[in-house]
Amino acid sequence: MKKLFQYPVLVLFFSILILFTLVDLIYPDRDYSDLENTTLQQRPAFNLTRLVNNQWTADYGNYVKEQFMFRDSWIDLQSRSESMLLQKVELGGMIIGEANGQVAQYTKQFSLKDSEESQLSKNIQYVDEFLSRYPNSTFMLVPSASLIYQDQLPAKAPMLDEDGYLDDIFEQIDSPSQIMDLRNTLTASRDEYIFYRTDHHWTTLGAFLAYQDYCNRIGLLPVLPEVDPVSVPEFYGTSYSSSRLWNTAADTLVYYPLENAMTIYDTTGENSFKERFSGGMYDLEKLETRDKYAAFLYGNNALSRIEGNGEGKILVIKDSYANCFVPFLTANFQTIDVLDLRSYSYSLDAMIRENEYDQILILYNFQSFKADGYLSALARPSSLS
Amino acid sequence: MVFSTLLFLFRFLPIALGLYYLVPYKLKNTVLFLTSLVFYSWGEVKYFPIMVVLILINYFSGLLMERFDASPKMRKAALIFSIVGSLSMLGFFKYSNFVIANLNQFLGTSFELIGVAVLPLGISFYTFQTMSYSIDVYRRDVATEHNIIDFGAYVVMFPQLIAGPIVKYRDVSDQLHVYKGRLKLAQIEEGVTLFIFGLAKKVLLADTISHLWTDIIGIYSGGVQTSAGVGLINASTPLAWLGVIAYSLQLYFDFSGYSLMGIGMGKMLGFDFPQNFNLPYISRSITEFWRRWHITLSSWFREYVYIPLGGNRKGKPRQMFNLFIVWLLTGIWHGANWNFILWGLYYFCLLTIEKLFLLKYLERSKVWCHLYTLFLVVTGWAMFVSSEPGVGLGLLFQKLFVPQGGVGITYFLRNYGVILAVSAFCCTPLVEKLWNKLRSITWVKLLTLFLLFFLSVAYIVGSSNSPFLYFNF
Repeated sequence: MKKLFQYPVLVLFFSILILFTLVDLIYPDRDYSDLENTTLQQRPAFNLTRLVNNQWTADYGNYVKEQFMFRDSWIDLQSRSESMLLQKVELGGMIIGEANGQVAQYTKQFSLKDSEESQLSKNIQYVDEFLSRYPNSTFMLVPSASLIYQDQLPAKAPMLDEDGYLDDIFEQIDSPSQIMDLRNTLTASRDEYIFYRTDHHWTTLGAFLAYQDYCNRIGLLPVLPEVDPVSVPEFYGTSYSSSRLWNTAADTLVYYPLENAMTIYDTTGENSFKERFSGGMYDLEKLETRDKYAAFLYGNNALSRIEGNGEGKILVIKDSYANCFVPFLTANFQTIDVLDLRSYSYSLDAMIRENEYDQILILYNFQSFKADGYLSALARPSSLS
Repeated sequence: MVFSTLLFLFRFLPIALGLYYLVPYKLKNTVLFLTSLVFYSWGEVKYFPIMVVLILINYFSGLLMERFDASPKMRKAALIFSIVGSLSMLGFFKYSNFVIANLNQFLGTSFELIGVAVLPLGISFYTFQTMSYSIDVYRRDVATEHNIIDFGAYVVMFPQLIAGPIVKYRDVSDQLHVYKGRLKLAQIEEGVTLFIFGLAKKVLLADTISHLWTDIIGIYSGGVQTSAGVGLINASTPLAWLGVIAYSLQLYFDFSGYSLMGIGMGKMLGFDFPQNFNLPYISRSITEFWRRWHITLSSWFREYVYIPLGGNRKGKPRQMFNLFIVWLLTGIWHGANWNFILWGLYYFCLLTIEKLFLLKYLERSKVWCHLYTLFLVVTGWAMFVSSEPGVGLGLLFQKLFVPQGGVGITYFLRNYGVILAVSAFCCTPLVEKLWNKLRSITWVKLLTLFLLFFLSVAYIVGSSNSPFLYFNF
């Protein structure tokens, strides 16, 4: 034994190896990583076919990795090493810059993938075709925070030319009057808190500025809700989940506690929905969790029907950017239908005909618009007679 | 299975080493053989029989050579049987698709591809090892191995299976038959140290610096782009050079880190494997570079190809021809693609030029020889990497050698400056000098090693994309 301690590296290494392995074996598994906002690999059930296909071994390796003891702390250590030791300005696919004097995290994007290039040109066609078929529709494409604050990124960051892409997209739409280009509006207010610094969404204020623009465009009067906004501090969003930047300052999420009723439906077929539940527009429980943005409209659902206080009907076809935008529409419309094409892949024609919408709004952010594979529903012919 | 995974570090390694240490000494080779088979089969279960067949072919040809000791013909037949066995496996898995695709292109034929998308793990390494055994037995340099477990343990031994070093049978045959007292604490301690350094080289240096290159060309998985970089087409000439330099550093740290982990684990098991890398980027000539880079491969080719062909004993022209063959094979060994053949022949030309006249000038210079060597080596890696998706030989060389604007290097120097500096430092002998100072104080030594180990674990847990460079080997 005494002899063994002449070899401290050996003793320490094997102690650590055994200790880590044993602790890791009894360390409880998690279904979900709150911090990373993702589900984690569970222990794969053994099965000969899956073994022969190498799926079991791959899953098992993944399982050990994702359920490793103190996973969150290890990732924090890596993130600290990247930012403090290696002095990197890029962490976990996020570029660390500033916005209004505070640290802000922007999605790293140097160019479009080949698949995104082709998806984008298809999506432009789908939207263009839809706009020409429905003259009462509007296409709102929200620019990314990294475009509005491009001078706040690290020097010479070779970001994708989103400005050029947006020009190009809008140019390809035949009827310019149906386009809402928010670049000027958001740039004019860039000194205000219009994008989260730790999340890829815009803030409720950013959405309100867009709502004002939209009302002006369709000839309605924008209304700031009369209720006092509620501030929810300590919001660490998706960008933080990726970067895990140690000195991140939390965001504050703001919402207007409007009492309008909302019913959520699941898709059962073309223009066919089944009610899941009714309630308000905000999932207040989500405000207690890390993923606070999911409180708006209870996250992304197939169809949400909101009872507004105004007149007429509007259909919003959208990504998650619309979730904090839609509540403002309650002041102007009687019925607001919010449709998420990721959960509804049928033709929209029958639904639009039946509901006789006064307005249709397609609301996407550039980041999801370039890659979203579900917009083909806009051009899908109805299969109903 | 890959060394730089949690599965390997905290499941396979403790179990394999624990069993190996705890079983009675007569069973150690059996444990090594069985655990190595699991290691080998983990990534591709279907390839398990290939390993078994390869072991059997070489094992029996060794026995045949002994059985027909008096018959040169039979001995030769047994040797040819084993070499054809090893090479045909390598040929089928690694080269058949390349040959068929080229046949189809040049002859207009339309044969179906028969090879596989994923090579059996480490096939280029272990086929060379088994060949070294058969040839050495044929030359009577080593005795025939009678115990199939011991032989199998040599062929599939997990530390050197994936990325070398290419261990000749005679390097380890003595140790394989030392049963009692195989393990020495001092050797295990050294092995642990080397293993941690190797892991840190792979995970902290190679994987981190690799992002600079993928920031340019993007990330591909099975030929499909999963992440976009700035695009080589948009890069300026300085950025293209910076990218290729980063790739050169990545390749070195990845490969040498992996080899070092292998050597370290070899020592933990009681074996001394030969050194594989010796600070190649401080070389003063290409000739010296190849004495420092992947040493076990060069020595394999020297011993089993160059010298049997006559080496330098049959006159200059014949020597040139022999060198040509060696470098053609070296190129092909690195991958089934034209760019690897080009890369091999590039080194043939450089080495010939140095042999004919340049070497004596280089030896007199102090600075130029380093710049000359680094420039040519990095240019060589540009050829080497050019078959990767998102690159292209023509485009890359046009970017490198026709000065042009485009995305500059400012941002990349800002983001990767520290890691580039640390990597450059780790290419020099200074790092070893530093370590020799540090390790004289026990607590500083322990702190350094385990800081590196913990950081490596953190990087492994946090990694979303750890490149694996050996699927071509």
